[in-house]
Amino acid sequence: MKIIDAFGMQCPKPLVLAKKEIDAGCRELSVQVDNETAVKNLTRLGAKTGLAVSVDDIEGGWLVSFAEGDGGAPAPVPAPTGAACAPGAGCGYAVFVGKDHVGEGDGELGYNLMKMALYTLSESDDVPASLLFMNSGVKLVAGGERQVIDNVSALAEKGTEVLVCGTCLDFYGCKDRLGVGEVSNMYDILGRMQEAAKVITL
Amino acid sequence: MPRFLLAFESTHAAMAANKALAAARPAVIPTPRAITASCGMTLRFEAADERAAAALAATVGEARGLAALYADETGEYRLVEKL
Repeated sequence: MKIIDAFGMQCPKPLVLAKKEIDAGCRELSVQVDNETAVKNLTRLGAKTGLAVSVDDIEGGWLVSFAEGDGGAPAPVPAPTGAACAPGAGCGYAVFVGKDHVGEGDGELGYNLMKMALYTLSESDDVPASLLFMNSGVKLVAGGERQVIDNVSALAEKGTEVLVCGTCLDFYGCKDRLGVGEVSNMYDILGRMQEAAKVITL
Repeated sequence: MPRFLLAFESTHAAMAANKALAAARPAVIPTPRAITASCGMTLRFEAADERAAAALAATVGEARGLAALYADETGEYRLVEKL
């Protein structure tokens, strides 16, 4: 059993180290981490790789252990009802929000267009499989804008997976204000794009 | 609380009104297809009744380009007044 000491390491470092080991063929691995984001990300990594994951409280943090066994097959992509799913063709669609405005030009207009776009998505019957926030896009869901939080929450309730880049929340200093969505990382965000039948970039 | 829509003649007017009405925390939404307005940006807000809504709309009088006030009756839009 290999043990990685990832105490003091912020997202995505613990994940990168664990993924490297698993990709190299390691099937029994424990990672010591001291933050919940790392625990969540590592747990998801287990689900994706088909390894069983257990989390134990240890002094100063958690021990996340991977083992072969009852983890089963890699977890299927959660998709909203009615999403077009065909083997090899991708599943549903992803919406990538890489900035807090739509298009280029006037910032205030672009910000209002973004609010309108998220409202329109939330009113649609055909909701995205995933909604992915990165760079200044994270400020939309971590900035106290009630309309955006409400609309994105409505999407989450309809089955859209909402992933928010943790590195970006950290950069903009707004992790504490995250109003909706799950703190995530480059692996999962890119993974959702790869799994989707198409990606819409706002 | 009843919901109302404020439609505009221009995007600039809609954006100015959005700022002027910030205290009412309006939602910025695409103009519903059922409403004829030259601007695609509409403000939706809550008010106690039509009079309160009209009074609120009147406070953005300086922002030219107000088009109309509608009552949002769960998907049906009833014209309250042209502005």
